[in-house]
Amino acid sequence: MIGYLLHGLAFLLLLALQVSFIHALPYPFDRIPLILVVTVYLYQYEDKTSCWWWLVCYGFVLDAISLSISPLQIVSYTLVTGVMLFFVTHVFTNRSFYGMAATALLCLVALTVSELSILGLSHLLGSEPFLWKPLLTTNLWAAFFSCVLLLFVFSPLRRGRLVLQRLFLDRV
Amino acid sequence: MKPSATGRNRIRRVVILVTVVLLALFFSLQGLLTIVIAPLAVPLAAGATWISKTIFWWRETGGLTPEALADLHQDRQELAIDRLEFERLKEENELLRQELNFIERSESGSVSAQVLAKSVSHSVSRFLIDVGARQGVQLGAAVVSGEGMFVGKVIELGEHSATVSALTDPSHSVAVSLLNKSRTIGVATGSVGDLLQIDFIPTDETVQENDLVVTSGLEPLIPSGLLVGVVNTVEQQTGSPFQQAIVEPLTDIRRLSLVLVLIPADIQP
Repeated sequence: MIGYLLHGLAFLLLLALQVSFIHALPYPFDRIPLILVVTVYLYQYEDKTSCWWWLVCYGFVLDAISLSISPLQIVSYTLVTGVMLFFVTHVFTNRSFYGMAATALLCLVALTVSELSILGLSHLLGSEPFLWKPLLTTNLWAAFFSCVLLLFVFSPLRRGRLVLQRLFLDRV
Repeated sequence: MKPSATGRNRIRRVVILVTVVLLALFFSLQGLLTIVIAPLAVPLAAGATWISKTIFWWRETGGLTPEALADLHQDRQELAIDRLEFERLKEENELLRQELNFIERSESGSVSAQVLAKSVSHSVSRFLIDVGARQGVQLGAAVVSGEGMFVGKVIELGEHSATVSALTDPSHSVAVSLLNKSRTIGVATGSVGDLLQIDFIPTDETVQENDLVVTSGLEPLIPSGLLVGVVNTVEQQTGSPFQQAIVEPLTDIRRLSLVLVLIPADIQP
């Protein structure tokens, strides 16, 4: 039960960081896909397989607070989760930076395709503007930042944790 | 193959997830989320707003110091407000001279709100605030900055929170009036980027650069005279019977962490 609670708290912390902090930064820094990258990193590299639902919940929250341009984000993020599960299980089974970057990029491709399709459908069925160009641009920035996060943030974090473990935790 | 949880555990997780989702739906997710993340979201949003204001000042300047830019922003806003007031008083004076009685402008109340989350980019400009239906906010209500500049309107309403579509959101539109000689009216819509556009202005209307744009009051919950922006460019296609005005809004939601939501006087809590 404590595990579920910690999972929930971690998700809320990530959510607050994503929608309150990162989204309030100036463009293009507001496109950093923190939740997606953290989920891919934890799922693929740290074997925390139970965190897959963060992406689905994130899509659900985006729909609930209507902060996204494209409707039905829960559908897009469920698709992204499916793509992540598939590629991690069947294709990129090694735990390298390239594997994680490829998974994150393919997840973003799936997200872009899904968002564009939903946006196109809602444009055809209603009066929603079909802003495909800005959506592509913002998701390109998101792809760039996902690689930057994986390369420059998670690697030092991992090394820092190993050093900490060698210096202190192993001796306790 | 990745190690995976047992089937039983997985079913339990799915059941818990579905229960949480259903409970969240039942208790209005937006309100629940607001209550849960507000203690963390308010300082985070304020921190990011501070970063936008102080660290990224060079994005808008090209040589100016942050202090000089802030002074210029302040001067421009004060001048715009002064000019708006001047135009309003001149018009009122003329009317009073013509007829000795005049209709009083209806007063709106307001409720102050903190920004909990933002999504600002070329494709979307929206933010979440920590007041909702319980505080008297209504769907479509006008949201203004501290100086009284129009920022956007409420598009989603929860019990304790609301989503505001900013002026520059591509799906946002608001009825506006230009403070030119003919008091041209139109609909300002968000375009891609940080600008607004007013389409289908007949060519016989004289619209000039630096004309002020204010809300026209034609929408039920948006009072007239709220400052929207200044006309930046006027464009006309050859042979077209209409012209288009590109409007530069006077507020930037990246710089806002506190706003006011206008509520009609008769429903103030």
